[in-house]
Amino acid sequence: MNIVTVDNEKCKGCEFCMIKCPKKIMVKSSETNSTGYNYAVQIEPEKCTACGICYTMCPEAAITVSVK
Amino acid sequence: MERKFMKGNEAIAEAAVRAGCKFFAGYPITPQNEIPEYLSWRLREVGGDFVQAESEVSAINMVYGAASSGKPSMTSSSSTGISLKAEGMSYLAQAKLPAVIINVGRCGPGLGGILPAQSDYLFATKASGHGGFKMIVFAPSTVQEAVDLTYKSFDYAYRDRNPVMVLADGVVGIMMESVELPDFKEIKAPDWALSGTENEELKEIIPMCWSGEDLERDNIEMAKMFRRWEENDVQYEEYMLEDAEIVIASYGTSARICKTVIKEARKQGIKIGMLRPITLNPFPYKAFEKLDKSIVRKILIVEMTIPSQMIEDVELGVKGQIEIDTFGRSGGVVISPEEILNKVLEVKEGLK
Amino acid sequence: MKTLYTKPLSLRENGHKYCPGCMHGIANRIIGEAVDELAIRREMVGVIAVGCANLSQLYFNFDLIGAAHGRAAAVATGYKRMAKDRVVMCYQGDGDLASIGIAETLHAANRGENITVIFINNCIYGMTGGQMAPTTLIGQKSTTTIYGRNASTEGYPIRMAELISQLEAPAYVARFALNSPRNINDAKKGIKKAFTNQINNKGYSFVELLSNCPTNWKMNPKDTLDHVSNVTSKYFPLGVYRDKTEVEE
Repeated sequence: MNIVTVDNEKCKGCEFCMIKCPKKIMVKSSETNSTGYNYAVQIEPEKCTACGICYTMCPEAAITVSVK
Repeated sequence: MERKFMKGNEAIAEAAVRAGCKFFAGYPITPQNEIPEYLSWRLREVGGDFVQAESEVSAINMVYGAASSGKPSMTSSSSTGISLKAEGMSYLAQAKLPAVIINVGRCGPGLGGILPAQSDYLFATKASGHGGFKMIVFAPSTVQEAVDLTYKSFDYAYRDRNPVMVLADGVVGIMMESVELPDFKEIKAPDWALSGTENEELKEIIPMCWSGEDLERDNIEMAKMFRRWEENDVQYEEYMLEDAEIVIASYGTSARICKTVIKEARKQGIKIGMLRPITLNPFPYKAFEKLDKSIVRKILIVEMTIPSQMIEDVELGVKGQIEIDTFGRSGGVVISPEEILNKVLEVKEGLK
Repeated sequence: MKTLYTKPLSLRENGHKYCPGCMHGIANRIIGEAVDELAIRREMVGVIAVGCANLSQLYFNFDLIGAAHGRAAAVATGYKRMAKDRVVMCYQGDGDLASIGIAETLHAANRGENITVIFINNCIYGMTGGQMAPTTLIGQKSTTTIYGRNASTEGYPIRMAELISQLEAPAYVARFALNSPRNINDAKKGIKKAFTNQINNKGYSFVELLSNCPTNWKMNPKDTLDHVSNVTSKYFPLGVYRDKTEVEE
């Protein structure tokens, strides 16, 4: 299974990862971080192909992609 | 030591090389062109480098970059070109980078002219750029002194991590004289320099602060450094002062001409001497303060600029206790011994 | 668990101060990746410009020199001449590189200084609050062109990559965009090539990166992705404008 971990505190909710994710499994969290941004989270990790596009698009270097 | 007959500008350049200077960037401007011309081939002989920059602005910023490596770096220009370096000099000061700036002064303001003058005194000593930094400013009055002070400037720049200015004038720059050249020395790259790749710690040369408190701390440290200069680094020459009732205050080329005048005036029985600042900043306030008010009746400031610029510092030194008169020529007119002597006679007449 | 993609070592741990969706962050990251992959973090020296690019000094995890506004190429020239074993990168925005520093930029390129210049072109002044840049497009609104840039009074946006590629000396001149995974990967390859050129003493390399400014374009971050494709890269075409190294190899 491929896991996308988002550093909640670094994420500013720009949505680049969500727009470009081929599987549309990056979504906005209903929670906000301490600066008030709804950060990105991965849903349905079993669909993730670990293509790294979310990481590539992230302006905050907040995303880590790993395989379990 | 080596004795040579050299033009002032070339002697300054060679002194810099012997002081360990490894980098020069500059832009052509009269009357200092022999400095970049000489260094364009000379620096490469000693493992250094030279860049003819696209402007004085670029030149000072190239020096800023070169200085970041820890290698002794220098630029030179003349008056209007030094104005263009103002921003860069301020950045050097805030980034705590050593550099030597040679100003072979010409007449101004504006494009002014290419002829020698001493009209950059206030710019050099009070505010050579924005933000409240200062530099040690040396004012050579002979080619030999230009050599010695340029040579020393690098040591001061590295000691203080601050730019140093040598404020010469077109006469010193163009004149040929026999000079004794100092020995070659090397300045080692200090710990702060981005000098190599062996260091574990990352290094930064940053001319700014993100926090007001940090910047204020820098300002306070800088103020302490200015104070230390006043305590330790003031240089001046006292010439025939012992019984002088007229004291000439003059520096650079005009001071040299004044020496001729003093000798002549002494022959005519006038008790006259000179106090010559060698560091314009820090200024020898104490030397002026300790002049014996019971003997000295008048200070005559002689400069090649109109109006007098040094008068503000002399006034701070004598604190209103001695009368001050001024005499100057400007626009590139080199002051003559005859006209200074006439002024001295007029001052003497007024004392009766 | 095996990590496939994560923040490069050449970026610091702290978060960015850039606005949400600002592509400076992407540029910083791919530079960091390039530095890591070439294993030149110890050799690396960033010469950092004034403007939003200035914030990058908080993120790059290698030696840095802060330059005066527009003077990065001059600072890099002086530094590199005295430190030939270092890899020197200028990191500059459009106001810095193409307006106040255009003389320094062109002359460093013309001397063929062995440095790498990364040019972030987002067609506006960011840090100062959205004034017209030398690369602001015709008709584009800014706080100093409130009805849109008018060529008859403000002239035309400057195409820096094309301008620099007219000079004899530069080894490599290219323009990329940071708005899609493919473009970002191309940009990273270009940056790596530019650094490699410098390591191999090939001389001056210039990499222009089309970026965005959601705040001063007054646009949602996601809309800026399309804007770069449909508008800015139409006026500033992507591509390699000069590659001397290709010919030699």
